[in-house]
Amino acid sequence: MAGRMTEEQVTKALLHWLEEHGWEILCFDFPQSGTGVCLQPDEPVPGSKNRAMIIPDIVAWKAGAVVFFENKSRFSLADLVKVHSLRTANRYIRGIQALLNGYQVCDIHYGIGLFRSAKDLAKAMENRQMADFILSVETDREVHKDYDPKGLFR
Amino acid sequence: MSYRIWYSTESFADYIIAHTALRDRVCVKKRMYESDANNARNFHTMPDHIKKILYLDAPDLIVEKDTEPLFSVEVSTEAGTGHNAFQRFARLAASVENNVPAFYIYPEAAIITRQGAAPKWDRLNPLIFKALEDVMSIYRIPALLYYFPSDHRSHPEAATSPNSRRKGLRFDANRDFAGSPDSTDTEMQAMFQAINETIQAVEQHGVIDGRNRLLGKRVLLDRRSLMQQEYAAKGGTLDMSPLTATIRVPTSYLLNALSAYEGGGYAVGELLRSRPETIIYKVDAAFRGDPYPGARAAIDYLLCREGRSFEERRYNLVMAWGNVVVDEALETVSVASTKASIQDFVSAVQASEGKNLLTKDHSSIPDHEIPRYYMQVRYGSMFSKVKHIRVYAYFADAILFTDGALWRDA
Repeated sequence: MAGRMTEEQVTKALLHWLEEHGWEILCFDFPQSGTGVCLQPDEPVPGSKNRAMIIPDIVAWKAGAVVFFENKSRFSLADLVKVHSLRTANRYIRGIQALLNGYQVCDIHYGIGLFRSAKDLAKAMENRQMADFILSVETDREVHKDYDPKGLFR
Repeated sequence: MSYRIWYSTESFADYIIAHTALRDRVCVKKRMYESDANNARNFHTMPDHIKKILYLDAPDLIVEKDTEPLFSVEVSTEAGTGHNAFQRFARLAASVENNVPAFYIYPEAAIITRQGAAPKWDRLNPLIFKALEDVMSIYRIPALLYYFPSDHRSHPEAATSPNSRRKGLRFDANRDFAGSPDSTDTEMQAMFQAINETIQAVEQHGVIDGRNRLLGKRVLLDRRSLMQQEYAAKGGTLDMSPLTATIRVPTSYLLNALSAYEGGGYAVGELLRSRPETIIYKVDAAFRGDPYPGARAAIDYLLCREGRSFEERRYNLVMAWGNVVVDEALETVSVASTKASIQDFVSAVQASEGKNLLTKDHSSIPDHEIPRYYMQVRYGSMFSKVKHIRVYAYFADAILFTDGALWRDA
């Protein structure tokens, strides 16, 4: 594999890595995969039922902890804003509860996964306070825990 | 022998390569760009023979050998009730119309959970089998459906499905094939066998002769029979959606309606007049795309087509955006709607056209856009309009709105 990884490749590398580290994958999505779980907001948004719908790129569970990922090939501030909104606004409680039904859940954490390039990583780290974690992936699928203040992936 | 695999998801390309005879061939994977409308930067770089398959809509995978397409594959994980079963039908039609066999993977049923109700299996509309059979009869090219693996037969009670979080569908356990159907399932094994037959036939007889021989191969013949059996076993009839949204009227009624636009020496041309009767597909909804483009394509094959081109139809195929009122006394039809206007259609065309390059001066076209400009010079906006506009314009002999109409003269 050479050059920049696609979002699909980043997501698959993270799926492998999470499973190797004991996480159970509850759902995942990447462009054109058709596999994602749609979360509708608790309060309908006027105009379109799908306007505020979100599809997490990965949701994984381990020993009571749940992690939500937004993944990209390159740094996206919009993704971090979305992650920050999920952490703070609690607009999708019902959808998330349905998704996690049957699992013992203590904490939910939101973060991003991205292809590891110095430039993208620097931008992500500048805005790290908006996320609970930042993981980056190299072309050989090595995963780096660039920001994990809660020790979620120890 | 070199094969090129055009894909929209790399996982699925890897999956098909790994589970078929392609694993022993030299394969080059290439990302597929669906249209000039949704990927203006890259679509013009697609080979011309691939563009032709994409002209209506893009399948998930196209395999070619020595620049000849061998087959396409389309995968859906949606519940295929009503119109939805036909949502991807235009993609299959575009493939088969270019003499390229199409394999369609669709769930026999998928679990749907509606608010306040227990989860239930939504079952595939069996009319899809009849539509595919009619396409095969007309083009003599395989268009075969395989069920996306699911718990539908093993867990008839949806709530007991171990995969209820994934709509009851069974995906491949290998993360390198993330999102692909479970490769160990008998349906997928049957599809791999059919793909291998296709590869063997074209390697033995050449691409064109090999493709033409496929429907005589036992593996594909048996699948076709099984699809016919499924149509019957699941209670398929011509009284199902989307055919329940069609009416048949004398063409004179349509011509009387269109006479409002005649005059000043202009009269509606010969194509519509050449067929005594007309099928009208009624859509009482706001003007939009899915699932109507695919349903529109399917209605063509289910009711109208008698040959390989739209000129070879037994009945005119007309789309009406609204409720159709048939006036037997005046022998005409009209459309009533508060949801759709001809301006919706025109606005969608204008929006697509705004992204085109043909009206630009040379000095304002960047060098990297020259190949795209040159493609548009050759094809106009054929690939540049949004999908539903392309499909409607291709399949409909006329489109009726409450406040206007579009029609072909020839």
